[in-house]
Amino acid sequence: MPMLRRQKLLAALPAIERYALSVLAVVCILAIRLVLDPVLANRAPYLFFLLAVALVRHLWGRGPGLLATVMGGVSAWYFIIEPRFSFAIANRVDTLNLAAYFAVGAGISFLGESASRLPASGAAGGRSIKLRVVRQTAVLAGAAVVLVGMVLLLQRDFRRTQEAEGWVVHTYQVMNSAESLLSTLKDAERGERGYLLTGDEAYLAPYNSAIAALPRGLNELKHLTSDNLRQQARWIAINRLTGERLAVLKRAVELRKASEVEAALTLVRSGEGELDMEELRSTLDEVIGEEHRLLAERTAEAKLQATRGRWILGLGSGALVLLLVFASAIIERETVRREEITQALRRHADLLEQAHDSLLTYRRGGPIDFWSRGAEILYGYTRPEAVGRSSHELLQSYHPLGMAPIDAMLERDGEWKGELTQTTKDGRKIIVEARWKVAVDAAGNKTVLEANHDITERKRAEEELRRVNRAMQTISECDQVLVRATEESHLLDDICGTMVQVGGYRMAWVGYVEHDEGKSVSPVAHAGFEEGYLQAANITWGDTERGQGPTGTAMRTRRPVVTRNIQTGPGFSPWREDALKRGYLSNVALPIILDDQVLGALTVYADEADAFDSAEVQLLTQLSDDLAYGIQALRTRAERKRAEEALRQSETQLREALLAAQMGVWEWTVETDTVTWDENLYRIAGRDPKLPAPSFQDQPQLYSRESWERLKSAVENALATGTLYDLDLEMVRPDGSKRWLIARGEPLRNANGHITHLRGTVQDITERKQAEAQNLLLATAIEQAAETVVITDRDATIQYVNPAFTRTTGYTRGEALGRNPRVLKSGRHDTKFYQDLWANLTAGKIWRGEFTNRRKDGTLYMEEATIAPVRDAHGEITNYIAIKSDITKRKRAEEALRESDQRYKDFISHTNEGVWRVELERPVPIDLPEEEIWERFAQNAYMAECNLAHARNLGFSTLEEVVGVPLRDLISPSDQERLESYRSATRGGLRNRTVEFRSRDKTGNFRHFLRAEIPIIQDGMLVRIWGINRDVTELRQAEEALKQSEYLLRESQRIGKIGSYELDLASGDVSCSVVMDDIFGIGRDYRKDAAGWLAFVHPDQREEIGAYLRQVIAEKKRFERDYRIVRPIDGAERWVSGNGELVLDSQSRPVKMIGTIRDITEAKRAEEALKRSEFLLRESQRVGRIGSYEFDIASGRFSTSATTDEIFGVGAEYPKDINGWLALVHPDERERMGALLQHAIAEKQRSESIFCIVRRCDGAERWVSANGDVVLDSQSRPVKVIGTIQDITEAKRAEEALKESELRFRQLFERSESALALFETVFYAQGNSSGYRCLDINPACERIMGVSRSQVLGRCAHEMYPALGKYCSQLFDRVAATDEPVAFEDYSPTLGRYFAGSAYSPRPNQFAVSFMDVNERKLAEESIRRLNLELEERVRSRTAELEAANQELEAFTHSVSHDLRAPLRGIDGWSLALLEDYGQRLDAQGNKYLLRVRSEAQRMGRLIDDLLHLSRVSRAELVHGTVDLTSLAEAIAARLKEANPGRPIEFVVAPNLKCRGDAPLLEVALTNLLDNAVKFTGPRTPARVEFGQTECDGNTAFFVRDNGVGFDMEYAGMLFAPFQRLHKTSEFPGMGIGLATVQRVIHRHGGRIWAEAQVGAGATLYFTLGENKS
Amino acid sequence: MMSKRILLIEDDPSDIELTQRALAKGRIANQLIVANDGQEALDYLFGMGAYKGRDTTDVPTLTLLDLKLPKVSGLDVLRRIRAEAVTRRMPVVILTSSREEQDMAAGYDLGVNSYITKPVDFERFVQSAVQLRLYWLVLNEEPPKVK
Repeated sequence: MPMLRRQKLLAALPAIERYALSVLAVVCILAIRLVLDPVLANRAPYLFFLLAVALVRHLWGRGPGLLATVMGGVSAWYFIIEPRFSFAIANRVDTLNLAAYFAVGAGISFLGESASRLPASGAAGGRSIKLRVVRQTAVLAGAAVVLVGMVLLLQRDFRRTQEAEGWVVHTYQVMNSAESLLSTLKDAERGERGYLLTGDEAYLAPYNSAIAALPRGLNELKHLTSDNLRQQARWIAINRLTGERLAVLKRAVELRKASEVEAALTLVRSGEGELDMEELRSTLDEVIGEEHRLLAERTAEAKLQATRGRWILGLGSGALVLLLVFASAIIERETVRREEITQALRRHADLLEQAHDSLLTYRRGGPIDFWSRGAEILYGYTRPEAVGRSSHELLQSYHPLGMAPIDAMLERDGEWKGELTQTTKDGRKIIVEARWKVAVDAAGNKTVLEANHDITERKRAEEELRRVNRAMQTISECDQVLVRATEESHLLDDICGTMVQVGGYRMAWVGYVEHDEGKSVSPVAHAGFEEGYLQAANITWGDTERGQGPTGTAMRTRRPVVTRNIQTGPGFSPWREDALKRGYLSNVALPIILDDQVLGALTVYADEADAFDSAEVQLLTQLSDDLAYGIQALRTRAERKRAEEALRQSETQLREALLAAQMGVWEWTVETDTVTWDENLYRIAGRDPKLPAPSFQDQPQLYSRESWERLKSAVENALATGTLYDLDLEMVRPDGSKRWLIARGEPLRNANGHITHLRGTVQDITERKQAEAQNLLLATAIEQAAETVVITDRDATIQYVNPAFTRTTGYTRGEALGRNPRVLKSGRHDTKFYQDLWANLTAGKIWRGEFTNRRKDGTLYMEEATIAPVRDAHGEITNYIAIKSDITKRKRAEEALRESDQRYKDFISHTNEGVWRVELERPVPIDLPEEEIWERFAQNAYMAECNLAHARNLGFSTLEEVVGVPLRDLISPSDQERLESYRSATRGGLRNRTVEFRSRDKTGNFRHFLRAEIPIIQDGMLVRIWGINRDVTELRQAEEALKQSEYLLRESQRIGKIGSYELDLASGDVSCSVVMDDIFGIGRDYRKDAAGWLAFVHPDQREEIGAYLRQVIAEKKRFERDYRIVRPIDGAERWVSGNGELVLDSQSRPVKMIGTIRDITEAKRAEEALKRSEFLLRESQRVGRIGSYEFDIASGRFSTSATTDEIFGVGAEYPKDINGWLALVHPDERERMGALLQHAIAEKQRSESIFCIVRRCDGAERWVSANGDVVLDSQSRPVKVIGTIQDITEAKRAEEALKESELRFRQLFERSESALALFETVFYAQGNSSGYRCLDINPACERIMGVSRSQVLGRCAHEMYPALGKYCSQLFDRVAATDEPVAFEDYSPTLGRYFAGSAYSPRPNQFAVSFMDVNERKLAEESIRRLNLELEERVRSRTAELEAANQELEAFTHSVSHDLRAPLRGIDGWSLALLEDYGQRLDAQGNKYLLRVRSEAQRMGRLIDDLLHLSRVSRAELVHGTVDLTSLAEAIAARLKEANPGRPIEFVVAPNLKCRGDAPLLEVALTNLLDNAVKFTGPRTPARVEFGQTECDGNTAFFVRDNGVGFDMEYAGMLFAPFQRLHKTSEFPGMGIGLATVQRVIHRHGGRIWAEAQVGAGATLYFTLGENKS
Repeated sequence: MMSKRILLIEDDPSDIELTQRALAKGRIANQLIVANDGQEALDYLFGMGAYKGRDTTDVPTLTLLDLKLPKVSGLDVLRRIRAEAVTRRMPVVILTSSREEQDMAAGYDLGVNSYITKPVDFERFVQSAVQLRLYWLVLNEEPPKVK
C-alpha cells in the first residue's frame, strides 16, 4: 500500500509542478495588473471566474494548457471585453503595445506549453512521428508568424494613428492661432474705438498690447501653416490685411491723439478699416475652414486606420485563434496519444517493476540506463548503483564459450538466449536464464534489453538431482561390475571405468596402502583423464605433507574426505597445479576398509567445484564399501583357488616324489576285494599297468612265501585292530627277480567305524638295501681288519687310517690324518726304494713290499705292505690305498691272537649292537632252492656265538641261555619279523646284506633293528652266518614321527592345508602345526593342551564346544564343527572350522584325535557380504517393483528374484522353465512372447516387451514390461538371458484410460453437432497477436462453415474469411483480455446464417470455439420476437393510456395541492382579517363562527395534505435496498420523544432488524405506526411501545406493540380504510389516514398488515414485507 | 442607495392581498412589487413590455415566486432569472401551496434560494412572511451587483 501511494505521488509530480507554475503565473499577472490599475479590484470577480473556467478546463484534462488559457483569458478580458478600460492608460499607443506584448507573451507561453507537450523525438520511432512533428512545428510557426505580422501591422497602424492625432492637434493649433489673431485684432480695434470715443488713454493699453501681440500671432500662424501653400497664400493676405487694418487703426489713434476727433471718427466712419477687417475675418475663416477640412480628411483617415487596425487585430486574432485551435487540436491529439503511450509505458514500467525477472537496458556497449526492481532484488545493486555502469563489468557475466559469441549473435540475430553465470553484489554466483534482445530506435541507436531470470535454485536442484542420479547410476553400474567381477585388478579397473563413463567424473583411481617405510600409496587402477597424474602424485598415507591430501587423509582417518574446491582446498598444494592442469576441480577420497584394515582408497575427481555434496558422498561411500566387499570376495575366491592349485601341485609333487622314491600306493576295498594300484606300484611289481591289479586273494604269487605270510598276518591284524602295519617284504616279480619292499598299510574306517578299506604304500628298497649292506660290510671289514689300512690322496696326505694303523704305529687317527706316511720312516730304506715305490704307484701299478717303520714311540716294526693306486672313472689316480700287515705280530701270534680275541669278546660284550654268529650243524649247499636252504637253515642253525646285547635283543638275559641253542628255539614263532630277518639271509642268493626288521621286546613294544648279515660259504656250502644287529629303534621312531608328520601334512593338504593337530587324549597334550599357531595367534612355545585350546574358543561357545568334544570322544565320532575363537594376541574374533578324527588303539579305545582347524573368517565374511548385497539387490528390486530373472539357455531354466515371483504371483516351488513361464503369460500373448524369446536368443538381441500376464496366485491380469539381454560366451554363443521384469499395470491402465479419454474426446469432437474449432494465437515478433491459426476443426464445423478440414488447418481465420477473422479476433481478444469464456450469438453475413456458441481459452495462447448453426432457432426466435414486439406495442399503448391516466392523476394532485388550498387559505386569511379588523364589532357568537370557519378551513387543508400524502405513497417509485429497521425505528423513537417532551415513553426496539424494501416508504409506515402507538398510549404512564420481529406462517413479521387504549376487534376491518377512525377526534387527534397509508406502503411491498387488540389492553400491529422475503 | 424591494409574483388576488396583509402585519415596510403572472414578472425584471426602459440593474432584494402562474410558469420564470446575468444572483424564494416533491426538486435544481409552502393557516403564513423578511432582508447579505 505505501508503495502504491508513493508511485501515485511520483506520477502526479509533473502535474503538481505544472499547477504550481500556473498559479505562479496567474499571481504574477495579477500583481502586474494590480500595480497597473487599482480599479481592477472591481473586476476581480470576473477574473476569478475566468480563472475558475480555465482551471476547470485544465483539470478536465483538455484544453491548451493552463498558462495559455489564463494568459489568453486575461488578455481577452483586458482588451476585448472591456475596451473602454484601455483609455484609462496614458495613451492608446501604449495600450496597443501592451496588448501586442500580451498577445506575444500569450503566444509564446502557448508555444512553449505546446512544445513541452510535444513527444520527445524518437520516443516511439517512425516516419509518422517526424511528419507529425513537422506539421506541428509548421502550424506553430505559422501561428508565430501571424502573431509577429499582426504585431508589426498594429505597430505601423499605431504609428499612423499617432500621426493623425498629431494632425488634429495641429489643426486645432492653427484654428486657435487664427482665432487668437482675430481676437487680438478685435482687441486692438476695441481699444482704438474706446480711445477714439473717450480719448481716455486707458483704452490704449489693450490696443497697445494687441498691437504688440499681433506680430507674434502672425508669426505663429505662419509657422503653423508653413506646410500648406494655400494657407501660406492666405497668411500673406492676412498679413497684408492686418497691416492695412493696423495702419488704419494707427491712423485713427494718431488722429485722436492729435485731437482731431472728428477726423478720426470720420476715418472710422469711412469704414476703410472695416473692410479690411471683414476681409481679414473671411480670410481667417478660410484658414480655419481649410484646417477644418484638413481635419475632417485626417480624421477620416485616422478612422480608416483605426478600422484597419481593428480588422487586422480581428482577422489576425481570428487567424491566430484558428491556428492555435488547429495546433491545439494536433497537440491535443498528440498529447492524448502521448498520454496513452505514457500510460502504456507506465503500465509496462509497472509490469517491469512487478516482474521477478531482472530487467535492464543499456546502449550497446554503453552503460546501464534501466535497472528494474527485479534486478535490484536479484543482484543487490540499487538503481543508482547500477545505472551508469557497464552491465558486463557490473555482473561479471560468465559463459563457457565466452561473451564474444554472444555479442556476435546479438549483432547478427538481434537476440540471444541462454544461461549465464553472474555475480551479485554480495559476491554470490548465480545462474540466470538470460534473454537478450537488441532494440533499434529510429535514430539507429541499439539498445540491449536484458531479461535475466534467476534459475540458480533450479540449477542447483537439477545439479543435485543429476549428481545423485549420477551417483545412483554409478553405484548401480558398479554393483553390476562387482557382481560380475572375477579378478581384483579388473574389478578395480572396471569400477574406475564405470565411475568415469557412467558417473561422468573426470578421473577415478584406486590406490592401495603400502606398509613400507614411507607409507606410500600405490595406484592400482585408474580411469578417465589421468595423463600421468598419479605417477607424479607420489602420495603417502603417512602424516607428512604428501599425506595431507584427501587420499592420504582418507586412508589415515578411514573417513571420506572431500575437497570442495581444489583451487583453494587446504592440504592440496603439492598437487594443485597438476590437478588444475587436468581440469580437476574437486574430489572425494573414499577409504576402502577391509576387515578393519584400510586397504586403500578410491579417489574421484570431478571437473567442477563443489561437485560432491553429502548425499553423493554418502552414496559413494556405500560404493566404496561395496567395493571393499567385492575385493574381499574376490580375494577369498582367489585364495581358495590358490589353495586348490597348491593342493593340486602338491599332489603332483607327491606323485612325483612317490615315483622318485619308488614308492607305490595302493588301496584295497575289503568287501569287494578289489585292489587299485598306482603306476609306480605296477612298475615296482614289474607288471603290465593295463592289467587290473591282483586282488588280495591273488597276492600270494607276488611275494615270497615268508613275506606273504607276514603280510597276510599283518593285514588280518590290521583289519581286526585297525592298527597300521609296516613290513619289509620280498616281492617276486613275474620274471622271477626279487625286490625288497617296505610295505605300509593303513586301515580306513567308514562313518560307522567299520574298516572298509586298506590303503598303503609300497617302497622298493632293494637297491638301498643292497648298497647299504655292501657299504656296511666293507666299512666293517676295513675297520675291523687286522691289517693297517691307510688311504691317502694322490699327494700322499693321509685321509684315512684304520684302527689297525693306530695299533701298529701308535699314531691315533687324529694324529695321522692330514700327514704324510713319511712320519713312519725308519731310515732303513734308501731313496731308491722310495723312488721305485712311487714309480710303480704313479704308473698305476700295485706295489708290494716290506717296510721297516718306526712307531710313534720310536720302536721299529716290520710290516708287509701292499699299496695300490685308486683311479676314478676317468682313470685318474685319486687315492692310494696301502694295506699293511705287521709281521711283528706273527711272532707273537698266539699272544696277539688271544689278546685280540679277548678284545673282540670285550667289544662284543660291551657293544650295544648285537653281534652274533650262527653256525649250521650241517652245512647247506647253496645251490638248493631258497626255500630248501631256509628249511635246512632253520632246522640246523644254532647260535654259535653272540654277545650279551644280542641275547638281550633276543629276550634273554645271559649268554648261556643263547649260545649253542638252536635258532628255532631262540626265536618265538610270533616274532615273525625277526624270523623273517633271518630268513632274509637265505633269500636272493647268499650274500652279505642288511636287513631291517622289528621285533617286540619284553614290554611288547616294537624295536627296530638293522641287521648286517654275513653268510659264510665254504665249498659251496653255507656253513655259518655272521651278523650284527643294530638297534635302530630310535632312528625308526624318528622316521616314524617323520612319517606321521608326513601323514599329517598330507591330511592337512587333503582337507585344505590349514592347521593340523594331534590331541593325546590320555595326557591332553596337543601337538599342532605351525599354521595352527598362526590361526590361534600363538607361538610355538605356547603350552598346548586340551584346556588351553578350549580357552581360545569364544566365551559364548566354550561350553557348547567342550560338551561337543566330550560327546565326540565318548561316541567315537568325527569332530566337525565351525566355531569362533578369540585370538589372545590381538583379541580378534575369528571363525574356524574344526575337524578331528579319533585314533583308536587295538582295543578300539580312542587314543588320540588328529584333525585340522581351518580359518574360515573370510569365507564367513564373504558369505555375509554376499548375503548383504543380495539383500540390497532384492530389496531394491522389491521397492522398485522390478524383478530380475536369469534364463539359462542350455538348461532352459529361469532363476528369478523374489520380486519377480511376487509380480508373477508364484512361489519358489513354481517350475521355472519355459513352459512354466509361458503358462503365466496371458493366453493371447503366449505365442508372441515365446517367439520373441526365441528370436532374441537367435538374434542375440536385447529384447524389450510389454505383455499381459495372469498372476498365478489370484488370477489377476497384470501388465508387465520385460527386457532381457542375451549374454554371450567367449565364442559369442548365447549362454543366458538376463533381464528385468517390471509391473507396469498401473501405468498401463493410466495410459489406457488416457487413450480412452482421448478417444472419447475425439469421438465427441468428431460427432458433435456443434462446430468445434481450435485456434492458436499467432504472434508478431513484437509479441502482439496477429491472428489466430486454425489447429483443428470437427466435421460439424466443416459442414457449417462449408469448408474442408484440410483447407483450413494451419491457416489463419482472417485468411479464410476476412470478415469472420476480424470477428474472431475481437472475440478472442475479449477472451484473452478477460480470460473468461465469452458466449456469442451472431449473424454471419459471410454465410448468411446465425451462429451461437462460446469461445474460451483452454490453455494460454489457444482458443477454442464451439458454435452451432442456430439459423432455424433464430428464425423462430425472430417470429417470436415479432409477436413479442406486437404484444409489447399493445402493452405500450396500454401503458401509455395508463400513463396518461396517471398523468391526469398527477395533474389532479397538483391542482388539489395548489388550487384547493389557495381558496382555503383565502377563507382562513379573510376570516382572520375579519376577526382582527372587525372582531370588536361582532358579538361573541359572530367571533365564534368565524373561528369555526377558520378551523374548518384548516381541517380541510390537513385533509388535503393527508390525501396528498397518501397519494404520494401510492405513486412513489419503489427503490429496493436493505433497510436497517432497528436504526430507523430508533431514530423515529428519538424524534417522537423529542416531540412529546413531557411524556415518559419507553421504546423497546429489537436489535438487528433488517429487511429489503424502499427506505423512505418504510420510514413513512414505521413513523405512522409508532406515532399511532405513542398517540394511543397517551393515557398510560409509563407508555410502552415495542418494535420487534416474530415468525408468522413461516414468514418474518414485524410488529409494533403498545400498552395503549387498544380497540374493539369487531372494528378491526375498518382500521385500515382511509378516514376511518375508531376513536373520537377529541380523544385522539388525527385524520384517520395514517394506517391507510401504512397499509398502502406494506401492500406496495407485497406484504400484509393486521392488528390484534383489546379494548384498554393495548394493540399490536403486525406486518410482513413480502412473502418469504425478509 | 435604493430601498430594498420585494417582488411578489402571484396570480391569486386573494393571495396577493393576503400576502400584502401578511407583510404589513409583519411590519415589513419594503416596497412590494406585484407581478400577476410570469410574463409580467419577466417584463419587470428585464425591462420589457410595460416596464420598458426600467433600469434592469436595479434588481429586487427578494423575489417571492409562486409556481402555478398563468402564461409563464413559476419554474420557467426561475429558469429565466437564473439564466440572465443581471438576475442570476437575485435571491428567489418559492412561496407556493404545492408540497409536491417534484416541484421542490425542480425548484432547488434551478437554484432557488428557499422553498416555502404556503400554509392554509393565515397566522402561520404571517409568521412565515415575517421570518422571510427577517431572514432575506436583514440577515442575508445581498449578493454583489452584476455590472
